[in-house]
Amino acid sequence: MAYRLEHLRILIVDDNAHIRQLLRTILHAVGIINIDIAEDGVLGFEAFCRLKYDLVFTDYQMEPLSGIDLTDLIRTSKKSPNPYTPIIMISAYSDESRVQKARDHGVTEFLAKPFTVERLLSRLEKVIEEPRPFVKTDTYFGPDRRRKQDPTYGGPERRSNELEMVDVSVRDLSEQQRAALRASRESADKIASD
Amino acid sequence: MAEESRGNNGTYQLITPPNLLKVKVGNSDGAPGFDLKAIELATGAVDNLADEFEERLKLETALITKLSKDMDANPDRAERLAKKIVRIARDIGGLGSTYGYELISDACESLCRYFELIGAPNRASGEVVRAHTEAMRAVMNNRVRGDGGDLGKELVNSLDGLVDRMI
Repeated sequence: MAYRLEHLRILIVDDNAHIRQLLRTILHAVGIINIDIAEDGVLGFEAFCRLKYDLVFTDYQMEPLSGIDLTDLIRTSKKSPNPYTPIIMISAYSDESRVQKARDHGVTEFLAKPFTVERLLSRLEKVIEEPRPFVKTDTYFGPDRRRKQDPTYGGPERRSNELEMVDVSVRDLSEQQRAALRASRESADKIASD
Repeated sequence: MAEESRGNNGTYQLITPPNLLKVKVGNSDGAPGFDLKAIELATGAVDNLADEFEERLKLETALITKLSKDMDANPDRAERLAKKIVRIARDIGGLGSTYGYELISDACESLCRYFELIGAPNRASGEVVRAHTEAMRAVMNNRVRGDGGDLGKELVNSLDGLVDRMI
């Protein structure tokens, strides 16, 4: 394995138990063993202040404290032990305005759901290999929001055509599968035409 | 290390903290990245969770179907029911492709788009919701992984077309 990951400590902050389990499973499989979990932003910041974390994964939408609020606290609170900690935000909301908002609050990288193993690891690799310098102005403190133009970067799009290690497209459907999809399509078309 | 500069909007500081992450994970042969073995291990671990996802999918699509019928029967509760439907759809849509069920993610995206565009939730049609859950059930029961090829694309187009027609 190229990276030695056993010394990293990662914090996952997400109110969705399945996402927490999925992230932990993937990170553990690649060798990250020190993974802490918080079920919401409040618990997340409390955990962040207790131990030294190398990276934080956070969901966007949580209550009572959102991922954006958590990011603000990590970046600007006097209690934050390390405002430079890389933060990867994960969200089903990947429209430009939300991504921009996340960046404007100091998120390091954004990962749209649903994500593949490859995409998650590529975000992690980006944080390791291409760390952003930090910018401090009167109104902003966080990673530099500019990236150099990368024509191969597919952005947070869910249906991007970026090359992935695993081909998930189905080449051959069985007759039963074809019949099931056809029936669903016809049902939807019927409702639309009624 | 910090340097101060002047931009269009005033003075800013550029701070380059040491890359401690790289120091921790870097190895002696200098080769960066996650190797194929790591990706295989992680993919295999995710595959092991797929059964659990399929179980959950069954329950959640049944719940969305029930909520859609409640919505038809109780328009005064439509807003609350719609929020619940969207939350569930976002949750399972956010996992579908990860487990190889791209069509599930697409169907959930279409369903969420419907509620975003319909405006007032009491205008929403439970029939449209159930067309989406029917599609998800067909995908799930027949284990249609990936994008479903041409038929999969046609199904997604039909759902998108239904939404466009019904908003």
